[in-house]
Amino acid sequence: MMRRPLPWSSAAYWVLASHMVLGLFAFPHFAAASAGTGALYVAIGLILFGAIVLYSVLGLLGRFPGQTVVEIQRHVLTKPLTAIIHVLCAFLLTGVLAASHALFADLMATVVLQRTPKIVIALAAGLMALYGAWHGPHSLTRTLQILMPVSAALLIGAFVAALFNARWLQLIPHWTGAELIGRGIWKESYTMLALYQLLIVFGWLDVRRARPWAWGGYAVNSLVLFLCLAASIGALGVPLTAQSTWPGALAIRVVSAPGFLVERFGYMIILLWPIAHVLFQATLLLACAVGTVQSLGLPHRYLRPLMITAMTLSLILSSLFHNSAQAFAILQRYGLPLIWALILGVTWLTWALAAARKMEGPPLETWRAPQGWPEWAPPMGVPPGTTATGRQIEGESRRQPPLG
Amino acid sequence: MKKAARWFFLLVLLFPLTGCWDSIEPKSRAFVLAVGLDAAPAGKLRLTISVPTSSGMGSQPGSTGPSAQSYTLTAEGRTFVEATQNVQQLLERSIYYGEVQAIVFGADLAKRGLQDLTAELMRYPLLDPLIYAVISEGPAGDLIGQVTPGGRSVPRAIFSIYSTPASQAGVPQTRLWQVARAFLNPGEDAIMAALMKGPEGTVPTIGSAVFHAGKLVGLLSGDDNLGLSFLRGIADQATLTVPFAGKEVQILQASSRSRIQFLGVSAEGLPLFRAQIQVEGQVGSDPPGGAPWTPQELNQLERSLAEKVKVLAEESWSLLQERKSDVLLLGFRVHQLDPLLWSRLSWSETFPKVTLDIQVKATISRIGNRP
Repeated sequence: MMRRPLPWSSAAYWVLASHMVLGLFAFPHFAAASAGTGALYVAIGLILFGAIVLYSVLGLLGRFPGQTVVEIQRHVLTKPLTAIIHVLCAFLLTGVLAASHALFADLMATVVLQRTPKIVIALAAGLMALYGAWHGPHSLTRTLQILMPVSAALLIGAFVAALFNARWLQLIPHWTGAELIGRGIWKESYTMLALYQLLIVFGWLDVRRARPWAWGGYAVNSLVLFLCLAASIGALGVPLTAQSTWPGALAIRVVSAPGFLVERFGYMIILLWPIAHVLFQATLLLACAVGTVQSLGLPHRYLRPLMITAMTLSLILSSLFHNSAQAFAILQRYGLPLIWALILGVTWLTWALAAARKMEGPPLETWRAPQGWPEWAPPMGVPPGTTATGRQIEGESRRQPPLG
Repeated sequence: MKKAARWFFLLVLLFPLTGCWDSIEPKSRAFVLAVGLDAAPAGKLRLTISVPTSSGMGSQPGSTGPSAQSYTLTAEGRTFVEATQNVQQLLERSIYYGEVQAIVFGADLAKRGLQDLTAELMRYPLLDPLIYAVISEGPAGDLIGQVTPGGRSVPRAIFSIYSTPASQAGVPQTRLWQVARAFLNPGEDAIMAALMKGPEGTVPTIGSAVFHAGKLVGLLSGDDNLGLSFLRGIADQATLTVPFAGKEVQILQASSRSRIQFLGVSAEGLPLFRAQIQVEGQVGSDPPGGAPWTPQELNQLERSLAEKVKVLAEESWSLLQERKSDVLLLGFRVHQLDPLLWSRLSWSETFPKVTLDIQVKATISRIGNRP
């Protein structure tokens, strides 16, 4: 199998993208509602938890250089088990996609397009996401390269401005007890796992030499997350933050800086959200298709039909939800435990098993370059011993690199 | 073929993204500029909305007759939502709250309590949490319907008052979200701008409405309001007269900054606070002995100004303690800085006994306006 690994810096953008979904602006609401004045401790706990997730994904990728998590799992957990897990994963991610359709359509219908049928909003965003996923992770990375640093810089600027506008007294955190804060961290880590989804699914792709760049992206992400919470609590206070649905957005809007960019930041959020949402959906689609194809050992020409199927199924599913509250409840009750078990749990299990059995992948230097490649070419082949070694897949060429 | 499919795909995308086919034409919408809420019998509230006429929307203030500007509609309901539905029945056009500039609560309704209503308004779609929230001493509905001289509607008048720096001498500029925050925060009481009753046909004067436990407990105007604004450090371009050598000297453009500190606990177990107020102003009269002002005279004037501001601030502070209204956030300071002490106190009972040491430092920055 010939494939082109993602550029080394892309890891940072993929990790950075993991917070640029709707969850960021709702996060202070959950933190304040669960831990009250100890919400800032919850943010620290959440950031540490995210660091563990990233550390485990990078630890696993580091053991098997140049391979994706799915390929590693085929090696460590056996092929049939990996296939079962990733087919189930594909259904799960389709469900998550459906819930995200419902939540996004509901938000847009409430805020901007009051009389547009929700299915039309979901369909428009879904088609855009499909368009992005269709062109593969390289095209998506190029979008992320532009969007994510700009979004992160704007968000940091806006939250810092909101902090200057804040009441500093409100920022003093109170230790509301280990139990309450611990429960808050657990609840947050559980509820907001969607924030980490991209941290995990970026292991589905071939990201080599990702380590320092992924941590860089994560550091920026953590800063954004922390500033979002601090700005919300500093501006609105804990009780109002706990009552608002999107406190992060309100905290930015209350900044009084006439003529300054931030003054109109509320509108920029409306622009940023659909873009971030579409990218999030494209990533899920990609993970869904790549996971299935790689775990079943199918040729890459199945990727696009799988994406279309997943998108169609998710749109049908989303139209069955009565409202966004029901979608969120189902996601909370069934989706999140399954994500924990199937995505995070299995990744950790694979990592633990590989470490216990001292399993490691061959170094990149030993990879066999595809036939006809010059000797000086970078190691872009496949590791010896994998099923697809040297096999020329239909529809793939050097000029048009395959997906995944 | 591929290229054609790509173009077709892009075309398909365009259709759902147009965003216009489902829109409501402006002429079919009733753009509400101001909302008035008053108390009605049986625990209900009375909603009055001010809707500009299509000719009024485009006209300049004063360019047309008052009647051309806007009209008002009133209905009652148990909640804001129900009252809105009842008003909607009187209108062919659909009510649109996206352009509301100010929300005026009648004092009678505010005395009943605004906590639940504010929470409902914060949740109401399209009603921006950043709109101005003010209290009207008289019925809010009457005020909303009033047209001020010069053809300005009340929302416009409110806006012009707010946006003119000269009138900001002690006006708390509160927005809906700030009121909601004050109602929810422990140890904080809300304060809002109050439109006091004025002679008919004039722009209402501005004061402060202070709350306790979500209910209106006092309307402060004149010197009480000025003293409060010095305490809160928001006085800007205020004018006051100071006794000096047996004469009254005018201080112009007075502004203040204040810093309130939580000092700890007294022997009786009560929290102690200190308010440091810094006042700066210009002197607008000649000295009694004739111009020019000498440095000694100016020092003496500064002391007189400090004394005057201290008296005003102390009177306002007594008033706040009497009404149990903690708009200075003293309780909030205790809550944040000493949570253990806060948990032992019943703030509503403690607040009237709290000691606030007010210290004032005055500076005459320039001797102004003498040709």
